Amino acid sequence: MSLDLARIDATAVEYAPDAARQRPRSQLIAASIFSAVAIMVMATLLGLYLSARQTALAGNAEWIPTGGLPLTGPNTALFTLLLSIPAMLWAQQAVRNDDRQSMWVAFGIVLLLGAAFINAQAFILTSLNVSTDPKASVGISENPTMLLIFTIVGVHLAIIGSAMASVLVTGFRALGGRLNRRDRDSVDAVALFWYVTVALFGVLWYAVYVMK
Amino acid sequence: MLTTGSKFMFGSAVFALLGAFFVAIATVGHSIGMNELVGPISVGYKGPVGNHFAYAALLAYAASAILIGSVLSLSRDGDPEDGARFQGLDAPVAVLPPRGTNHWPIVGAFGAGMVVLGLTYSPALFILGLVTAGISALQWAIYAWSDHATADPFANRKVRHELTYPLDFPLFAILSIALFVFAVSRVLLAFPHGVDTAVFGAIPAVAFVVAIVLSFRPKLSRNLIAVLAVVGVAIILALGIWGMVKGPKHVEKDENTPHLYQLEKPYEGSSGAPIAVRIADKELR
Repeated sequence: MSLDLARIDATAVEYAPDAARQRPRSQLIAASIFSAVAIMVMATLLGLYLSARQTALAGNAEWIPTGGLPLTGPNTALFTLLLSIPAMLWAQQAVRNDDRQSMWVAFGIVLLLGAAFINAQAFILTSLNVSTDPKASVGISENPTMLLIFTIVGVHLAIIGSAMASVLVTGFRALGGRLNRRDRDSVDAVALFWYVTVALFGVLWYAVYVMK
Repeated sequence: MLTTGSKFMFGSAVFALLGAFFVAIATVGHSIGMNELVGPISVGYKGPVGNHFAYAALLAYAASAILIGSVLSLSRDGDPEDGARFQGLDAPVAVLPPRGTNHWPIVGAFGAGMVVLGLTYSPALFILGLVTAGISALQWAIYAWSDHATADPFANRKVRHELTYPLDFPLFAILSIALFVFAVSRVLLAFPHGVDTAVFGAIPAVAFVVAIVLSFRPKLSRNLIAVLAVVGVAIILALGIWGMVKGPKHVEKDENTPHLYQLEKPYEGSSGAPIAVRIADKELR
């Protein structure tokens, strides 16, 4: 008589006792520390940018040429991200109501708007017509303004990317049925990180795109 | 009521805000008037701010401290009794210790090392390090989740394997082959003539001998085999990185040997000016 190992494995998983509950809020505190790190990194870069800008303007040098950075693209990007806040609030309320289906829809909207934001930022960077090829004769390294703008926007895109990855992972955890009104730590944590990311873009939008 | 941890964070935020205010005024560079006072208060919107970098860093610290302080206050400094009330339980749940040994942090550390090396040496190594660190972060997260997926360790392991094996094996095979070939090629390029031939023979010979020894001990501990594999990979990768840092050996060219396409004497066109002939990267005049 041969043993059906695959069947035994499947049964073991199917009839395994539920996991013990975990203590709450550890992920929320971790997310707040990670958000603080993101704030400090962006502030350092923006501080460098503003300092270089101030030095250039004090010497009567041109920082960004008139009409060189139109506000249409950045405004679109900002409002795209602002629209994601109600969607994230919806996801938080849905998990409080044990309504996982609505939470997946809300997470999907957040991810869609995040992708649209990345698209808008890519459009803005492309419209600057600066070569990022290190072999180009006149590239980004010869232009401190553009170098700083590309660095700041690039770092923020990386932060948005990691926030979107967090949303995706939390969505997968929700698919596994691990999140409910009493154990919703990861949803609150990812929401906090998302709000900070949106706020960071608000500061970036004002300091780089509006002040020019 | 504010908790102890949040009081510390809010207090340091107040100090940072005061520091930002004074550094903005002190570094503005001329007399202090209403404009200089309004500048730091309005974050530079109405009036000047002196040292932008210091001002931005202190403001950001204050924002970070307020954020962490708020979360600490909301979570009552992580008080387990309060957490139990939040979960609707009479007593806090027990802290769950990890059940197995997770090797992914070691891989992640190796990836981080490759990122740092790649930043100074090679973009390819930098990207490889990022990929390695990313994969280890993903696997680490899956491991941490599956470790407490159910109350049964056997079922947890099954859940983890069902999720990761379809991705692990093909990816692992491709990466292993690529890394091995790349690392050995760097080693062979770095060693001088003669030694590279010996190394070329020695690496497969060592692998062959280890394989024979393992085949004679079929009941060898799986952990020991895993340790041997990790040590072997670490040695190969370390040698590969050493080879990359050292660079390929210098090969002396014999200048007297004529090039296949070299002209016997300079060719002059009808105008009398010498012309250059470029074949691949060789320029002939």
